[in-house]
Amino acid sequence: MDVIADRSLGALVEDGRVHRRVYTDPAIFELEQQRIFGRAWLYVGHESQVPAPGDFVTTTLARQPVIMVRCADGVVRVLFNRCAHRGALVAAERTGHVENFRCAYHGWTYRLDGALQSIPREEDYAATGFDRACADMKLLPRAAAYRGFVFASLTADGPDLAEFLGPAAANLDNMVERAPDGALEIAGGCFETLQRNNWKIYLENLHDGAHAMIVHQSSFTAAKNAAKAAPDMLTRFRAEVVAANGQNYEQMGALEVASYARGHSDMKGFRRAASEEPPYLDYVARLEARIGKDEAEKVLGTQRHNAMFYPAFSVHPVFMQLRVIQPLAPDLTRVDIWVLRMKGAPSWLHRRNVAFANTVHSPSSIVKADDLETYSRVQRGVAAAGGDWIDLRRGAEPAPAGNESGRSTALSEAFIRNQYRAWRDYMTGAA
Amino acid sequence: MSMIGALEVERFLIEEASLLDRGAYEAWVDLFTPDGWYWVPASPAQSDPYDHVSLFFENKALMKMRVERLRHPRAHGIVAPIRTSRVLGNVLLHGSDEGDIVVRSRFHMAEVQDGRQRVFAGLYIHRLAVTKDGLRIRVKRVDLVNADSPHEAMQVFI
Repeated sequence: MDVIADRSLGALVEDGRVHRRVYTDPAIFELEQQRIFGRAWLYVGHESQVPAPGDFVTTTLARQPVIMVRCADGVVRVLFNRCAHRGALVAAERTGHVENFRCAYHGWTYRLDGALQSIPREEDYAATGFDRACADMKLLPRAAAYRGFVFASLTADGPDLAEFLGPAAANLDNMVERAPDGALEIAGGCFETLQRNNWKIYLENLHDGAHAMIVHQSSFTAAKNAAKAAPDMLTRFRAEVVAANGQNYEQMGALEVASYARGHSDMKGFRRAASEEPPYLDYVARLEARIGKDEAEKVLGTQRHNAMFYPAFSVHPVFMQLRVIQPLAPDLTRVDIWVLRMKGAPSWLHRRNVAFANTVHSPSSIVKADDLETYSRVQRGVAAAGGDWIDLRRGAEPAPAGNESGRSTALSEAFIRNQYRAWRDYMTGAA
Repeated sequence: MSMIGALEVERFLIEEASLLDRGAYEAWVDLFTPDGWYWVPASPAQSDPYDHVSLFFENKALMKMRVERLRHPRAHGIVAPIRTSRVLGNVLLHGSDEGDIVVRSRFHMAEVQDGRQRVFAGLYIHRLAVTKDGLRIRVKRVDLVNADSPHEAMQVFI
């Protein structure tokens, strides 16, 4: 692998443009894994997935296998999924419940918090220099939960979770506050999806209001017709969700996008979430019963579309959706889509959120099909040497470069410029 | 209903698969009853299309919406055309449900787009209505063996 000096890395990102190598270069991809994904707080899972001690889920963070487990003391911890003996994966299941972890290779067992419990024929280690105290499964350097959302970091230093999340945490607050019982749970399965593009290309589309009427013309045209002929509420909802991409530049230009420190951002919602259907009114009444009419109005009035926690986590607060981003290769990205259920809400709400996920984020989505095609065209296009720079100046303020206010609209690429400021800081060690 | 034999049902399934392989999506959607559903669960043995996400869960209106998008000149995702080929077999009449015929079959489907081929395989469960116009699909359920694997875009019906 080429050694890339920090200075030349920084030179790949200017205010308003980036070099195409950031999408294609395997050496840069490797460094991103170490310097961005190896240092940021990454979403691991939701506490509701492990309600009881011994419940665990497995996942991958920065290409490393990890276990999120509820320990005997009730605390959710995150372990490297690796036996201290010969390195085998200890938990091979996606999810499960155990009294303790037992390696399938030589039968070493560990307590839920990773502490070594037993080694078959441990006497064979007598006088070998083997140190039992160093034979635990290792905890990740840091793990913490924010209102049920569990994050971990592969480095011990850096900002704590609350500082990392910054003002964007308000989106997670809003999701929890929308639940009549003030709590959320993962429910209804998961879409595991693959994109043939660099992970950044996906992030760069999340608040891009200028693409919708171009990329999604085929689907919103079909959806406008379908909405008119919809035989029932759920069909009409699904068609309207697709049709909403047909908003014009003026409408998209009125949508506020906020950029925050460390590459995070969020965008005002553009799909109608309120409804006159009785189950929705029942939901609002249940929410008001807990937090009062004024507060409920405030919570439901906070309509955000995608919120982005750079580099690997995005939520849709209104439709209760999580997206977990895993770069697999410079030109291959996995995005897992989860739905949260609001505790205490009528089942109608969850069904509508499932319908939203089916419509917009299923692998079969007629919306996403054209997004994925576009992302892949960017990936293929940047292989061309005709002009090495990708322009990101749309909507740039005339103010001095690098001094953007953080407030922009869905027609501005300000949030992408903000992502690249974070990219440069992580990659050159300034973050 | 007793007049509908296994051979007739199998012939219907073959013709249905053939419509999809020929890209005759409008004619395929017409095979569904007005209250018909097309469902591809996202998990093996998923029992519920409402509280759990699905790869596809579409009534006739939504199927038509998909087809209309496929026919749009700016459906960028299918600028490179999609071609499919299905083989189905192991056809078993599984009984009847309120006068409808329930039939199970196994299928393999190759899908090619832009030089890239992938294979889907699994179980088709058809619930077929016997109408004056012949057999019609009330429900087509597709249980993919890789339902819960990571997937790229699925633009055409399976």
